[in-house]
Amino acid sequence: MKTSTKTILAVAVVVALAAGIVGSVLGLTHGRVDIIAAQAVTAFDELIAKLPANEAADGWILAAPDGTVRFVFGEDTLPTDPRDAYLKIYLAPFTNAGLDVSRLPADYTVIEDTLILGADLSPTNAARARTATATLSMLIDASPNALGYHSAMAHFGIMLGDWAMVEWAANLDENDKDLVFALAPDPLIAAGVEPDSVAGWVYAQVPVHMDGKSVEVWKFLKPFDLSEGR
Amino acid sequence: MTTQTLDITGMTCAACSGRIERVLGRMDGIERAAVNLATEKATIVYDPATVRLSQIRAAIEKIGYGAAVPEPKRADENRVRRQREIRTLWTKCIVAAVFSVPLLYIAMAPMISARLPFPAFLAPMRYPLAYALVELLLTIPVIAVGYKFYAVGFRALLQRSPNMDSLIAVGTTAAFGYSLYNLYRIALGDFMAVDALYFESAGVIITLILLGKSLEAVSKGRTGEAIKKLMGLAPKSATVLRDGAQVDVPIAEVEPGDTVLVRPGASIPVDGTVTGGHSAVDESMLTGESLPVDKDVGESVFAATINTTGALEFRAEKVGDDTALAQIIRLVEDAQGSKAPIAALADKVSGVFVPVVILLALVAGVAWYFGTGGDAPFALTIFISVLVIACPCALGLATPTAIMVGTGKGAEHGILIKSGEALETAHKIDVVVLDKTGTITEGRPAVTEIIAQGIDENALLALTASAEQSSEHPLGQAIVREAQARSLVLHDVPAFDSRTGRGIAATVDARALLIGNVQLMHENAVDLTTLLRDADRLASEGKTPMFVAIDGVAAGIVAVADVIKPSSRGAIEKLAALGIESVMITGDNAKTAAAIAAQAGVKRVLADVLPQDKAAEVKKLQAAGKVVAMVGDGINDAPALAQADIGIAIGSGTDVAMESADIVLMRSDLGDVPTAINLSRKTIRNIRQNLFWAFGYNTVGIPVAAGLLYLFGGPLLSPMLAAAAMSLSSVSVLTNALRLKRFKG
Repeated sequence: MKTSTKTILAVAVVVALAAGIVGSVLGLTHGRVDIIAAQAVTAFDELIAKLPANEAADGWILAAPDGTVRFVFGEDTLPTDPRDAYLKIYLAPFTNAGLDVSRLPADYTVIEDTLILGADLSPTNAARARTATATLSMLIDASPNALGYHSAMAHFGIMLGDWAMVEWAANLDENDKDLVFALAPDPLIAAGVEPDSVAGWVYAQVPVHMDGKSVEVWKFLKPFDLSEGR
Repeated sequence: MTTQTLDITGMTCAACSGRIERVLGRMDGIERAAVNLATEKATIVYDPATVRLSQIRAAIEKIGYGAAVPEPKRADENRVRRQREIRTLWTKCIVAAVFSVPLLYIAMAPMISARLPFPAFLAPMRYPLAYALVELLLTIPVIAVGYKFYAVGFRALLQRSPNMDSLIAVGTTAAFGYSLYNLYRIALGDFMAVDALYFESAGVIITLILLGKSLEAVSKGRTGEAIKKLMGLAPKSATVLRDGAQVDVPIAEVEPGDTVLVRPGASIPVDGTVTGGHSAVDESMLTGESLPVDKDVGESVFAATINTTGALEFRAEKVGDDTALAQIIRLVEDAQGSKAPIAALADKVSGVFVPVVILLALVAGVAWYFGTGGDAPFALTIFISVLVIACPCALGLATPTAIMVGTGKGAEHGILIKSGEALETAHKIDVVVLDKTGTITEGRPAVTEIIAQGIDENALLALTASAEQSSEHPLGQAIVREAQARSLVLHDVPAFDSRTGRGIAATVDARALLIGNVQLMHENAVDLTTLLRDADRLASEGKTPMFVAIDGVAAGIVAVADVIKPSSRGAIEKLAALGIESVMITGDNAKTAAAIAAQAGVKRVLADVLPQDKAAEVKKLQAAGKVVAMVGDGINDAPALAQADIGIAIGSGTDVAMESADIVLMRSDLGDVPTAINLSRKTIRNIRQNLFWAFGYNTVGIPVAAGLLYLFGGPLLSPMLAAAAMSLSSVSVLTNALRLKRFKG
């Protein structure tokens, strides 16, 4: 057999082998390469089943069981503010802990007693769908890099600007923190917040995967266990 | 018994050569089989009545290697084939690197720093499946170009004779297989499996091994450069006289008996005898002698030497494989293919090395798996590292590469070392027995002194030489040569009478000459009173005084002696500096022998030794516990050359002496004896260094790869570093062997 024929045959075998493996893997994921997005949406749907989201004028709203934080998504905040996924945080615990709102960074919007932190995930003014889950899926598709998987906690999460996040468990049955709201502490502390004095929020270190290593970072956390009997 | 050399292909490490030796060793009719990894040759001594060569080849081919009878005429083809192999290896290495470099970056960059540029769509913790698939797609081509490791390695494993390729195949297959398993886990939703991908280990290991093999092939090629140089010396065509016309023909068409013409500056195509013309021929490529040698009608010329000044016409006598050049090439090739006893340890270790390493890797992997409470990725890392780092190729290359360079370097100096064993034994020599005539001395008498009485020295020499023109005695011929050297005019000799055992009587230029010993002079009543004292002195110096009487009156003495070669004294001093005692052996009487020994600087003399007793004298020295080298040039030296631990045949010697010798010095220069011994010492030191590194590397490398240092808080060796270290070990051994190329003598 000629060398060129051998080479062509070898390349064909390699391509067939690669195609076979890739095909069988994609078969398992129904053709989706972004399996974190797929599973995040599935897990969110399970979360919504336990803690229903409500549809309002400004989008879908997933409210914390204690009502102090709301995750709003699907519509731009204002015609002049394109953020379409944001947290509305009840501000009193922070002002009681020393927050001087005038010292907050520009992207920390305060309207009356509420702090708004969010991100513009969709390029359109409205990304609302018929269900909360479909809306979230549209936003993730529009900004896939905003979604992450927090391996230490087995949480999916969406980054909502300046490390503010809403996270939900990949498996509600196996996790005791089914829904978590997280805020970056540094801007708040810089604005006068005494971190250990924020009522209803936990100031704690969380392991995150960074540069191939697990490192501990400080956060303000508000976790919720939605399981019955817990 | 017949000795046959076979070209072996498909060997990758010492385990391969050891395996072929074991298989051949078990066959009936095979007395000895030595397989050389560096030269890729097997030398087999077998009984053709019991086993056929075809059966031997079939046995080798059955275990997965190629075996072919070498064809000298295809040396060029072999060289081209090897160059093609090197090119293929480099191509594979480059292809593998093209895929491995991005693979390594993708695998390592997220672990090194988030600041390194990295495509967001491959972030492992965000897009684990895309990340894993891209790694897979980058790895598959690397595995494909390294398919030979798998084909050879697994076949050897299945035949229960694992080799280096088996280690690489098992190690990288484990890495690839485990990664593939984790790829499916990711696809099924277990994203954390992204932390247990080892595609880059498999890819980078293959790339580094290919890089090591490429460098190894280049270095191996350089170890055989001496032979390549020799082969390249022979011209491709010759000008012969056919039917009175000059015809250019390919070298293969020159036949014995052809008349060959060589122009000034051209290479001599075949061996032969000069039939016309005069020239000086540069024979340095064969003998190492830097000065061109004068060639006249009747003198021999050799293929590949260069005709310098005049045109030569000669009769072809030896062509093709019979030329001196072809014999030298064969001799050096045989030596390079032979094994030195020092290689035995490495051979023994290599034979069991690979199975032991596989066992060690399994034990280490299992121990760490349970020791870490079931950390499979960690255990796998240990398993792969041990397999990959412990390759016996450095062990297999340690001895043969040094022997290849050493014997090749010897050939460049006109020192033909006929086997690895001779090369090794030569470094132990503590006594060198030197034959006097032709070894320490020139081997042909020369005029050393003329004492003239009442006549001019040149006039006396002219008369004496004129008389000796008709003599065939060596002493007479020496006198004629001296007169010719002084350009003296010789006279006709109308009357000449040879007096056996005494001398000659002749009439020259109308004068009656008597030339001979004291007895001849006494018989003719010549008064020697004024010459006897000088005669005694000359005799005590080992010279032969020949009295000359003109018309019945003593006219002087022409002293003739076999003079020592200019280099002999220096060579003996060099031997002393190496701590080697020189002993001169001769049939001469003690007085003459002592005189020559004193001139040469030899302190110990064995005089009055008959030719047939030389071997016995060597034996006596051996019985005293000495390792003895015998240096000689004549047929009568052959038994002593064979008896000695190392027989060294010196230059212009006879075929028998060369046949009996272990080392052949192409030049007639005793200075090459210390050079040969020095080369042997340096080669053996080089082999020891190579073995030290090869053994040391594995002794240190395997425990480190098995996590011994990690156990005590030290670092853990990654499989990729293990592959790099393994490749470097072979390259470092080869580089060390190549240092011998700097040997100056």
